[in-house]
Formats: sequence, C-alpha cells, structure tokens
Amino acid sequence: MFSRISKVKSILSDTVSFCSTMQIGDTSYIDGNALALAVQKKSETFGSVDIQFKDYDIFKRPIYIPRLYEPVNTRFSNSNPFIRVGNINIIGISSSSVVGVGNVGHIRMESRVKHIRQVPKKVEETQIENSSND
Amino acid sequence: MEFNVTNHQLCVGDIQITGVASSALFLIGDVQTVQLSSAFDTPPESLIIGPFVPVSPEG
Repeated sequence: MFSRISKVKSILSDTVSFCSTMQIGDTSYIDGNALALAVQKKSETFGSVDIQFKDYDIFKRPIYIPRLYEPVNTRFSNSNPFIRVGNINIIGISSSSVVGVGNVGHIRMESRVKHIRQVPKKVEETQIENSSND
Repeated sequence: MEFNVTNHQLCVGDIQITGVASSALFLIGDVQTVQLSSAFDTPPESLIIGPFVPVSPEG
C-alpha cells in the first residue's frame, strides 16, 4: 500500500510537551485526544479552582463525522518514490499534537477546549483611568 | 466513485513552524485516512466581569 519514502534533511523542535509526539518512521494508527479547561482569572493570587470536565457540555457532545454515501475506489501511482523536505524547525509541539515523518495508516485527532475568563470589575475601571492619564 | 492519483515529484524546501498545538497534526508522508475534530468554547458568558465568584458549573 505504502510506496513513498519521506526524506527529511533535518528536524528540530525546542519543546515537545503535554503528551505530544515526534514520530519518525511508519505508523499504523495515531489516535490523539486533548481536553483542556483554560481558566484566566485577574487576581493577585491564583489558587486551585474546583472545576471538572463533566460540568461542561463541550466535553460531552459527540463529534460529528461526515458520512460516506458511496464507495470510493482509489488508485495511487507514485512515479517518484520520494517526498523530499529540507530543514524543519518547529518551536513548540503541544497538547497531544503529532509531528510525523513517514507513512501512516489511519489518523484520528480530537481537541476540546473550554475557555473561561474572570475579570473583577473594580480593577478593570482603575486600569482604564491609569491608561487615560498616560 | 473512481479516484485516481498520480504522484510526481514532491520537493519542499525548509519549513519553519511556530507551533503545532491542540491535537494538531503535521505529517510528511502518505496516509490512508485522517479524521480531525476540534471544539473551542469561549462564549460571552465565559467573560465574567464583576465580584469574585467561584467558577460555577455550566449546564
């Protein structure tokens, strides 16, 4: 099935974090999943917040995958057996992301992020005053 | 449906990426199937301006 070979001159990444992967070589299956609660709070202290994924709809709703209504017969002919790439420089790979060199069978990736911001009113007003004085 | 693909030469120069994040995928190679899904929720209600209240569960 696979016939092309990926040729990369060099690959460099500063950070690979939060269950991310840098995969070099053929893979049969990749299944990535990332859930995140991003809480921004304007406060002098940021203690622990008692929130859970189950409290939010975004982590429960099923993902929609378009349906295939007719069979697709695919045929590939690779007249050039190489995929050539020069130098790759990636600053950061994060949150269950995958950077891969090589052929892959099936890939499924999912990401769900809930963003919450909390801003106190009083601090906001004083900041506007400060900026107008400048 | 018939889908015929002929891959001729594929040569790419240097690649510079700032970030690959939130279950994103950067791949050099052939792949049979790819399924990507992403949900990002930052509704107006998520901006709470007012007195401090603990982050409350949403319905």
